[in-house]
Amino acid sequence: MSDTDFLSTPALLLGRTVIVTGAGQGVGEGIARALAGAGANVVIAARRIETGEPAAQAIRDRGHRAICLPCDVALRADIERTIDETVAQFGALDVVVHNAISAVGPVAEVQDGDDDIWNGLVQTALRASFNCAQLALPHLRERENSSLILLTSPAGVEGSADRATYGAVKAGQRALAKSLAREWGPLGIRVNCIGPVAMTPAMTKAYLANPHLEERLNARTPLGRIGDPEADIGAVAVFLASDMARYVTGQTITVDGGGFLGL
Amino acid sequence: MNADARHAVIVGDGLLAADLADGLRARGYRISPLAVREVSRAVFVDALDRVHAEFGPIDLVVHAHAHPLATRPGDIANLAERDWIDACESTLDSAYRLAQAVHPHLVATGGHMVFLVPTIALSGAAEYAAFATAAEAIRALAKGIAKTWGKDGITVNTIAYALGSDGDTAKTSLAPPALGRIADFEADIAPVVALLDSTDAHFVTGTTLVLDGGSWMAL
Repeated sequence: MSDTDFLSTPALLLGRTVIVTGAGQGVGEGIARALAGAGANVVIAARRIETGEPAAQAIRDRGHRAICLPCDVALRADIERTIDETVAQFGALDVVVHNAISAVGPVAEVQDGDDDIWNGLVQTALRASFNCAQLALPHLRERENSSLILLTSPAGVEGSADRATYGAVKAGQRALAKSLAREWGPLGIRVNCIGPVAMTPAMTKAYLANPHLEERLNARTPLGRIGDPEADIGAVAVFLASDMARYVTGQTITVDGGGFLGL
Repeated sequence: MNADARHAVIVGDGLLAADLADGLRARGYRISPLAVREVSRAVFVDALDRVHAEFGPIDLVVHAHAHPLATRPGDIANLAERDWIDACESTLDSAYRLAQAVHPHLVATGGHMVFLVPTIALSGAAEYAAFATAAEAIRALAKGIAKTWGKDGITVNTIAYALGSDGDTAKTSLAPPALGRIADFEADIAPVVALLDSTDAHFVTGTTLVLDGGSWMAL
């Protein structure tokens, strides 16, 4: 049995259509692969088609259903077009996973923060969450057990010394999820967050730049390793998107090997 | 005016800021109120420099600003993107830009910064999604700033207050306050702000004090 065989229970999400933003690589790609493995029609919404399309092709190569649509989540029109094309192609929209975020920038104290980094984080984490939510709502309310999943971070709970701005926008997404969970509960739409710690291209770069980082991170993680985007993070996304989570809303599930135990 | 009294800058409009100012004045503070007409780092830098030049070093800065649209209830489905930007992003941006501008002043005095946010930051709230989002972002921003400004001798904390009406309680599923009423900013909040600005609280930073009379007890 491979690492991800346990995810291949197609009945869980068979017939469901899911958009995953920022799914051309990293955590988003892992989530897209897991959701497709569980039977969903997956739309990889990627700003860069050159990473999004190979990610979709890799899913199709496994015999699952995926397409890539170009989408810069900083632009409301792009999100709207992605949702419209998804519904046109698959007939419905059941779940939106908003994972995309702009560059977090170098370590910097708030007073030394870069305006472009800050504006990008606000636009892609907060405004894009609002736009994804609002534009998906008419479609989600037509479906049974539909949901919105926002990717946040342990930094959104405990704050971040290195990048206070990143922690801020990730926290904002958590409160948005709680608020929408309250607002949309009567409509039968669930809203949750995942706070992952996983191997991504950015993490790989950080490891290369700092040879001791991996050892340090592993040492402070009870499970002793950094998460896998598909097998570890994707599995939780499958759960939240499925009927198994039909009574779960407004929650943040930190999927970090126990690194943060503050909730 | 007592020149030896501690000097607080209160950033924000409306009754909340005014009542807080009254409460701190009653405790001997010199107050420089700062209304937010435009959110930018340069505007805050200029304003704080003027306050410093006229009234002296700044010991305490309180962020109590929210864009007027933030407190207006409404479903997310019917909120224009422009209104989201004002209600959520402008409110958050004011906290970020203020923090950037205030740092050199508080380094000079070893001062304190306090952010005031509604408890919907913690609980979420139907019809107040934009304000809840901004408020929780501000709370995490405060934690991040606290982590790095500790070395400068600056404490940074958040006070959470209940937005005030029975209707709001219904939208948040919060229990009615155990003490039977929401806060009076002059009598209930100002003393705790003063506490956070005192040597008694020198070891308190990065935390949130929930001053809602006992509605939110999840911590």
